[in-house]
Amino acid sequence: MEYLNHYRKFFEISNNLLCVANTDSYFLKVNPYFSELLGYSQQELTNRRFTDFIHPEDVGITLIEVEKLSKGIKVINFINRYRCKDGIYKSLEWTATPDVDQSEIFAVARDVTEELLQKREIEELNQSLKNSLDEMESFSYSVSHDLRAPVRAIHGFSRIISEKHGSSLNSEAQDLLKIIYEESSRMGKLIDDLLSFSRLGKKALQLTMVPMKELAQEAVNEVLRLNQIEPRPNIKIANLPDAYCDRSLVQQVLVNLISNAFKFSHDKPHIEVEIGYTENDSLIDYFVRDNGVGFDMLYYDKLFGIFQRLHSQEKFGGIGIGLANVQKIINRLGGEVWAVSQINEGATFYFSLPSSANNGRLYNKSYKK
Amino acid sequence: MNALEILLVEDNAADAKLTIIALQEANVSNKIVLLRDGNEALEYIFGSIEDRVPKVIFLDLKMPKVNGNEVLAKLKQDGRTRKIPVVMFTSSQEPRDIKECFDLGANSYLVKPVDYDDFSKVVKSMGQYWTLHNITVD
Repeated sequence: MEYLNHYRKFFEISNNLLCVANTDSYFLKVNPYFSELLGYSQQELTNRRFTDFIHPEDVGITLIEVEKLSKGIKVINFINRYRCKDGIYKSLEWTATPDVDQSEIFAVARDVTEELLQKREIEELNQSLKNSLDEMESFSYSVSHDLRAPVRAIHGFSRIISEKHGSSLNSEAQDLLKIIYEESSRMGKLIDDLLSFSRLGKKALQLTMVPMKELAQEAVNEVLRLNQIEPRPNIKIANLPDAYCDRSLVQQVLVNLISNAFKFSHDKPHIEVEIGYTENDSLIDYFVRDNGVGFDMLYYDKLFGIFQRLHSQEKFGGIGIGLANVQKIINRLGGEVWAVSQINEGATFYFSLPSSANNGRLYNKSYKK
Repeated sequence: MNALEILLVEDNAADAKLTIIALQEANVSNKIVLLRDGNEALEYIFGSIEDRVPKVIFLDLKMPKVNGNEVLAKLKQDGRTRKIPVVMFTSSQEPRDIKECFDLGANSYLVKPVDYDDFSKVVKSMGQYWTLHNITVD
């Protein structure tokens, strides 16, 4: 008998709803918290069918659950709305278990009204954030797209004037024309890079297991083919493990990082580049290390920004989009990008990728949350 | 031999001028007809079709009134014009646009480069390819 008293105490102090009901939809016994939360007296609650308190839209689904209970099936985390005495609805999350012989239902519920509101608010905020991001992307896409034709006209006609009418211009006019031609060419490259940057976010991913060592070798070959570098750089490629990713996108990442490594080492007597890895649990950290000019960690937050440069264009060329592309690609594949460096002591750029499809999914899932 | 060599359908005046200059430089043709939108193109071709079968059509995609892909569809559905090679010449690099044009029967799809040197190169080679060899398509 002592425990019955103990149990009654729990029943009385609980700030969850606890009740016994029957399969004819009447409460037989409700704990005091029912009155506290919903505002009705115990008698008001037990005198009417409980379906009278439920939001009309939720009565149907509730009766389906009661039906299940009468067949001996438990109900877990079922949500419906109850009308309080003041007319406001509360969302209740029920867990119930039947006693089929006695046609009784034992049920516990908690008030999830606030929780659901907050959840909806977060979803709405996320949606509006996503909408404005999409808008921004399509804005930058269409602006850069529409800029192509006028830039082509400036570039083309300055070229045609200098070819066809160059002889009738004095040397100052020819020089100025050359500036228009060169600058419009640079603007054209900026626009094309901006377009390909915004397209990166839209490209459908083709995920497979990719042999990273082979890919790194291909990337090195491509960079060497496009750039005449003397003396030949010394390149070490470790036995890189395979990664679960999109081959052509990661190829772009490697080409970018390797050409950066060469570019920022070109004033060293001998270029040393190492491509290696360290393994984490589900992700592999790959790196590209050089012995070049490095960068000042003070400006680290600008490193991966679009059109950001940490070195002068005269000295090192490029328009500052490569690392922004690298970051966008790796983030889409569920990995991260980071770097360490000291001025004149070389730089190491890291990127992580999932080591298997499984890890890829797991990681992406938690990443999205 | 037809009098007309190249039909250029282009609403952007600067692009039209650049294309004509490049074609003339390559000596591919001095018989170029320029039309300013898809509607003009359809009226021109189907208005008097016997005299007006060009060796190749350079067709812009995004144009006022009638779009390039609508012109393309009409050309490829009509037995009289189906064999004229059509080169889509556009700023759009959207995979959706490219696929749609090929599905409608485009014979080539060229993205207009921003850089004039590249632009001039592709126009010249395309123009030469389709006019010098007198190619028709099935």
